[in-house]
Amino acid sequence: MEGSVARASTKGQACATEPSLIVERVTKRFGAFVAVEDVSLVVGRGEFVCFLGPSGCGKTTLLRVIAGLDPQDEGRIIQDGRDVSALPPSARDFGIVFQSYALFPNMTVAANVGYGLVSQRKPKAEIDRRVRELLDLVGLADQAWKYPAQLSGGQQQRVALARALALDPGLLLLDEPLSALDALVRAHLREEIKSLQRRLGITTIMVTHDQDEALSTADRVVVMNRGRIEQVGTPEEVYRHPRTLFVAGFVGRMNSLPGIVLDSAHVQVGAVQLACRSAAERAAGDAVHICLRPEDLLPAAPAEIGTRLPATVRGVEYLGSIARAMLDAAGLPLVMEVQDSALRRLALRPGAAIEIVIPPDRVLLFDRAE
Amino acid sequence: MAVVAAARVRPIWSADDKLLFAVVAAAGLFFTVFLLFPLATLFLESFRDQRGAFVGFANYLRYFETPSLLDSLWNSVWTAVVTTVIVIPTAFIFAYAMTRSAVPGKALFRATALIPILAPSLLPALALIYVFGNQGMLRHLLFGHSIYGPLGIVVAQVFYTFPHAFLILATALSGADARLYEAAEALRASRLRVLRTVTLPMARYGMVSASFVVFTLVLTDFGIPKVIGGSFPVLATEVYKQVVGQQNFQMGAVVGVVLLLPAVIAFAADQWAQRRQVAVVGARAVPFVPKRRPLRDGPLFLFCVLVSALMIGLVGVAVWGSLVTFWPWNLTLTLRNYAFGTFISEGWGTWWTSVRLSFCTAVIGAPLIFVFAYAMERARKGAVVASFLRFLAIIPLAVPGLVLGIAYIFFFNAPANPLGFLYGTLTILVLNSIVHFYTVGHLASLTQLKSLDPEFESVSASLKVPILRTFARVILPMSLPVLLDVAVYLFVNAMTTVSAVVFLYAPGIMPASVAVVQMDEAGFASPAAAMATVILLTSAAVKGVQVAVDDWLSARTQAWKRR
Repeated sequence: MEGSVARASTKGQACATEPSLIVERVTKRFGAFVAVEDVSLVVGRGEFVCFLGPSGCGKTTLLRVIAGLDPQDEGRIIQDGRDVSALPPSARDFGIVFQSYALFPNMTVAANVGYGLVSQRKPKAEIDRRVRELLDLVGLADQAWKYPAQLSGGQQQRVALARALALDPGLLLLDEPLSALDALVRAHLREEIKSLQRRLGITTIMVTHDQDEALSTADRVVVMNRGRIEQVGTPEEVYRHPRTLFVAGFVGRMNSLPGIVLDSAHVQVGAVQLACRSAAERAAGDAVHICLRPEDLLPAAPAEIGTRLPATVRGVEYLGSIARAMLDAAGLPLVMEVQDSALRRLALRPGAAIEIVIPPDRVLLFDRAE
Repeated sequence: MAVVAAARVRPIWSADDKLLFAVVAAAGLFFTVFLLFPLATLFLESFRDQRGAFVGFANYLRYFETPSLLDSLWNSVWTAVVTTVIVIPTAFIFAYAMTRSAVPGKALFRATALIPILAPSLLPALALIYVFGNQGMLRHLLFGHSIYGPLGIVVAQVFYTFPHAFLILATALSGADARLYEAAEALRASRLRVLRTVTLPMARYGMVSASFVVFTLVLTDFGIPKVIGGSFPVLATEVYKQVVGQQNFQMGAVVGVVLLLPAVIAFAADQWAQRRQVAVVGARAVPFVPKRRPLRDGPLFLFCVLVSALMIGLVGVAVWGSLVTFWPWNLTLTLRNYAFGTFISEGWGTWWTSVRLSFCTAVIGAPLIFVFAYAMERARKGAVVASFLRFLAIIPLAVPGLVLGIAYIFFFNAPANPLGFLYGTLTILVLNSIVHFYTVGHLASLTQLKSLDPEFESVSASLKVPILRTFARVILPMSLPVLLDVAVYLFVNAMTTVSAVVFLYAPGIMPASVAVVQMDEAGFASPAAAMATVILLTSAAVKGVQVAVDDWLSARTQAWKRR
């Protein structure tokens, strides 16, 4: 199963394995507000997909549509070859973890995890065995008789996860499962969720507004904005080759400046001409947004190829392992990120004059309406 | 990708959806039959003559041409205004002392302030008659004024409405964020300025709300003006006189509609105020803990002692009066006044009727209200119907008991009504009481349901657990204390109310509260006080049971709350 997951992660738009879930032209309205607009998506078996976007972009709505909790107005949902579009949640096959966990506070951890099993009229011994198994899986075997209020946030989250997995669902839905936790617990748990998902090979969709979370856990990231999908791709694709200006700005940090295409190898921004490889795909005179990742601005070294600009340091934001320098590069306001070691070497202090290099293959261009 | 439009989806209803919708539909039927139809009948009846012919506004014209009827409207309004003006500041200071000062004995003061809720409104009126009436021992203190009339009404109403105003104001004042006060102190605001700029604005809408509640209570109360009003006519007694005294049902309907109007206006204004009551206490608020300040706490303590003394004094006089042989000439103690059989034919049976009525109202009403609220809140299908029902559920608060009572006469006594068999039974008294006191129970249930994670049902659906099971295993156990609260509220109110049931009781099922009115009317003031005392003790006993059961419940089913 690990193999298939790894394989899925190397692919971009389409999934490599057989489809587990097909979302086909789904639209969901709340009154006049269109929460999800004509969205289509295919999720492969065993794949880990993240819906990423700002709040109100429709990512949670899409998740609830897939679960059948807020049925779509138009479009189809096909799960494992079965059209589930019209089915109520109870007739679909999924486990879900909510942001609030929704653990039953008046039941013990064991009772919470076994809640769905009891209704299946399974023998008690079998239920007990399965509950133990699930609690072992999330590392909470010794907490079975506690009530949710007696657990930490991270532990509650694991109970919710165990409960969602109890009926062996074909699809695991996670709605911002980590957003209520402290930063440290959060980083730890997202690794745990990822490794659990790999071990079980369960198709998983996680909704998040945290790009680190999405980039670090997902095989593929679905970036959403205003009810539509902006881009679907592996974390690297989404980060390195954003297809739209929105994705460029939302995933990671970005210097974004208005400019014009000069010729097949250069763009003009302010008084500066930048060498740019992707200018070849555009006509001269096109109005564009020129985007540069802060880490792609390099302190000048003899070997570097690219546009060299003199720059003055306006300010430095120290972040520990890296530092962010606010530059005035030949009149352009640019932010540069450098390693802590480079910071020491370059002695970047406000007022310092340096030279930077902008590699032509790292200059991204997006359409700009005039 | 296909260019054609995506297929529209018609979701299939799950068994849970069907069940919830069935409950919502049942709630709709309940409201239609027991609230909307009776009120509509009352309304129509006010446009008809004795024989049932449509006469347009003729009845209303006659109403406004009859000076005595018009007087009663004016009298009702001004006594209600005066009562409100007296009660609100008094209750505010009391609530302020309970929430924002460090006076000792808060629990005791609080309990004392709530005593009037447990007794019928007639009790303070009877007590006032003992003290200031024609045979009153302190009659001379009135300097020739009579307690029978507006004076007695206002004083008794102040006593009766005080706890209602206190509860609302205490709630408004209790949610204080200590950080606001620390900020004010850091900015060196004077204490008076803090009161004016922080405390009062916070309680502003609470005061508006309390004012309207008191106003409506006075306007629609029947017991007090009946007992102490003398020849001073008010709307509530006028309705009674028209319907029961003169059998003039049409004029009764008109007065009912007239009585409904100010109540509805006050209700609408209160809803407006409540919507503006923003949550001043955010999730991060730091609870305010009052510090000792003798200059403030001393006077407040004396004030609380005074108010409590008056409360206990008035109740004490009524109880004492019920225990003496012949007030005020022969003060030897006796239990003769409690032998109700000698004063009224149904005797102690009226108490038993009241207990049965209150018990049924509580035991049927509380689960009914809670289940209806649950279905309205959680139904995934028929959302439009559910939201309309949520609106209907708050209407009973605006409908005075008297109006509901007359409306029930018109509707259920109509020869064509297939539900006519209910008329004159205990069942209709129970149904009427449930509807009359529906709103408070509904709002309490709704608050409880909103505090539960809405995803409990989603999780259950994903685990393929039927909603009935989740309701029984999760929702209900977590809501038991609230359910008990609602049940006790219904019991106490059904026990003490006079207004609606006074029109609906029949021979053999006279409630104790009506017996108080009847005995007082027949000149048996002391037995009336005795019956009022019995009602008070019954309510208090039920409250006591609630406290005990609450303890037991929290030990048994709320273990999860402990960390």
